[in-house]
Amino acid sequence: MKWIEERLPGIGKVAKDVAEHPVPSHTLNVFYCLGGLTLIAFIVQVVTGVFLAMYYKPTPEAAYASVQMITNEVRFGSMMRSIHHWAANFMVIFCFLHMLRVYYTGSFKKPREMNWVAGSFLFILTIVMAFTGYILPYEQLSYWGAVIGVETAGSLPVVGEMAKIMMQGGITVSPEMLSRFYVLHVLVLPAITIAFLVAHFVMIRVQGISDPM
Amino acid sequence: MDNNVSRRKFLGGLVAVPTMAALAAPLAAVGAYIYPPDSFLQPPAPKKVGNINDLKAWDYIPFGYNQAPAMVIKTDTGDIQSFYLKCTHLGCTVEVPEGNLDGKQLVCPCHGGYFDPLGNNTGGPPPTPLKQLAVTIEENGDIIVEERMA
Repeated sequence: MKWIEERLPGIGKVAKDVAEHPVPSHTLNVFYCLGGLTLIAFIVQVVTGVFLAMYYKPTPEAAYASVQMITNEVRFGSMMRSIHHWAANFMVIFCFLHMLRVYYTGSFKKPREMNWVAGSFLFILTIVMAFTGYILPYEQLSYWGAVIGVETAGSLPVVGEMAKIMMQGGITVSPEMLSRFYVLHVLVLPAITIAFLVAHFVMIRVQGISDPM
Repeated sequence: MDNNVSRRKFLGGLVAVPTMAALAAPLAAVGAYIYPPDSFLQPPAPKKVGNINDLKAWDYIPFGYNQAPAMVIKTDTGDIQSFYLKCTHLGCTVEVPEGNLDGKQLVCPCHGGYFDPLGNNTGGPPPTPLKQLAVTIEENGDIIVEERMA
């Protein structure tokens, strides 16, 4: 610690401020933990997702077999996959309940409107990550789930047909669809999510926790 | 008894050890997860490379096995031997003369290593004979080679 302090003077104080920041007593309550639980679920997803990506193969021919391989042959593979599966479910649930709490306590009101919007984007990102992850095992449920999602997007007025083609990677469902969903799931969406999370937390620190009702 | 250790510090230490252990246990699982599963670690399947009845003494059959060139050869006693054609010096492919190998030598073109037709190092830099493959002869004379398990 002293070694680092000598080279980055003041870093200890910053670390202490971040780690030992006091919160108001009315937030010592399970309903105020839901956002943090969502974050923990996200971190679990990042870690287990990295490990799953080591063995997963995003092609229509190999995807299902590689997921079966992870489940049945890789040591602790079924555990890794189950954690990823369940943390995904919990992330959606916690995120939704966190939103309900913020709405119920009126915490979205001035001056925190921007953070409510950032949080809304995080909720949408969570749902889209869950949806894009759903297709990756490429079983019947995945495939038809993706088709439903694509058709739903396709029913949008004006931009629908365009969105459908972009998602399918062609005018019909094509092998490109899996690549697209995969790259969204493991690269694009997590990166955007992290950017929004940082903004979310910075705004909480700047604005403080909302007053009790 | 040393009373300089406060109760808080003592209990903290007491909790720290199982906490570290609890945090380290998943690391062991992660290590096991990253290590390739057993199905990735199987030696290549045995391969049929020819029939013993098609070979005269010192005839050979070249083939590829386990991503490396290899050959089988029939000796004048009718034995079949098989080995990789990967030089034991620095891993170049050893050149095998065309046709019957009676009295001939295998030469590694990189640094002039010499092997006899049974894969024994006879000259130049190679320190050991060429790596042998296990050979099984089926009842109908088919020659089956496979990786020799240690």
